[in-house]
Amino acid sequence: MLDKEQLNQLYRFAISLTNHDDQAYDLLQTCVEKYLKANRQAVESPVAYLKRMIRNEFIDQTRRRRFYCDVDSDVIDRISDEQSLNEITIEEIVVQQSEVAALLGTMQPEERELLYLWAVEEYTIDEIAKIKQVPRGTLLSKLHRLKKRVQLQQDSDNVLNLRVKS
Amino acid sequence: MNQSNIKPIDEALKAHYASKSLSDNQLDQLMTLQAEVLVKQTQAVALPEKTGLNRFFPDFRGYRYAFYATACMLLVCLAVTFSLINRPPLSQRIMSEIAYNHKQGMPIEVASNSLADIRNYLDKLSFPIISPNTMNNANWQFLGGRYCSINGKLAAQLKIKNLADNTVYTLYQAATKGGAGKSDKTRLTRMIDGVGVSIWREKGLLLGLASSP
Repeated sequence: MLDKEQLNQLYRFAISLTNHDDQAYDLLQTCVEKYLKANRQAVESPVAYLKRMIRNEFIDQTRRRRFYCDVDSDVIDRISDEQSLNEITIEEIVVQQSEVAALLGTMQPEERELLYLWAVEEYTIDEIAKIKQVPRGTLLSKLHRLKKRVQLQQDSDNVLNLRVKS
Repeated sequence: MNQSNIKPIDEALKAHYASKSLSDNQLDQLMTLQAEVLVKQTQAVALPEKTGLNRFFPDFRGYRYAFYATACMLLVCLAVTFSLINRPPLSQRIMSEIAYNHKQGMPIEVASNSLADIRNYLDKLSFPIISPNTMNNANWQFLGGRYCSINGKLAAQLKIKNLADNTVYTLYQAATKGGAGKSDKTRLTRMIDGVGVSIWREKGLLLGLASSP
């Protein structure tokens, strides 16, 4: 049986996908019901199992094409060498706390999920690649694009008042 | 911009998501949902269906096919045993077969008063037909013979006439497991379906004599 802390953890993960509180709760409730009906008592880690369920349910509810961000092959090529990979240091990005919600609102669900797993759950990029079963290079390319977009927003002094530390 | 509110993105994200929590009402709903399902599952485990043999053997479901197979085998074994127990003895079955053959009245294939001629004709037999000791006197005369089967094996069926009362008998000769030279003075005689049948062993052969009164 899931305790309140675990339910909140799953709820936050659902928010990272939906970026909408009520939709996240509906998603969580649906998956908890399915999990209980399936009587998966032998599952080693119910939270990890439910995270996969939530993610799959979300993909089912939304259109796959909308969830997955297409990554340009030239972007992947550009970051394929080690020097480029080292440059993708997302930790360098600083933001104003009050603008985080707005920033997340500009992101694709998969980008929000990536940031959530990295920042809140504190997984490394390698671990996230394993969890999501996607190549590490694909994740790095997404981070590259994410950082670039935030930099663009900061450079143009946009309404989010984001600033990237040099 | 408020500089004190600026922080690294990971810290900002942590703070952002930390502020997101399920309401008490939502938490109660989810906890209740789990509790209800848990109670149902516990009841289902605690009160398994008690029907039929499950009542006596809680794990019967897992072994039911083995149980049915064993029961079928036992039934077959019982049926076979019962039929073997009630099977008439071999002598009885042979006498019944002799009586049946006699009543069929099949015609002879070779007609001759000579035992040698009949023996030559019935050359597929695994034994030479003999003249029984009790029929060596002049009162008995061979009329002919044919092949027949006794207990599933090839045998000789001879027509023999008692000149004293002018009665025609059927004499059967078949090989026995005892082999040549074995004789048994014991003679079994019975009346089966109106046919008088006698069987005995002589010179390693099973002999049978049938006559209609």
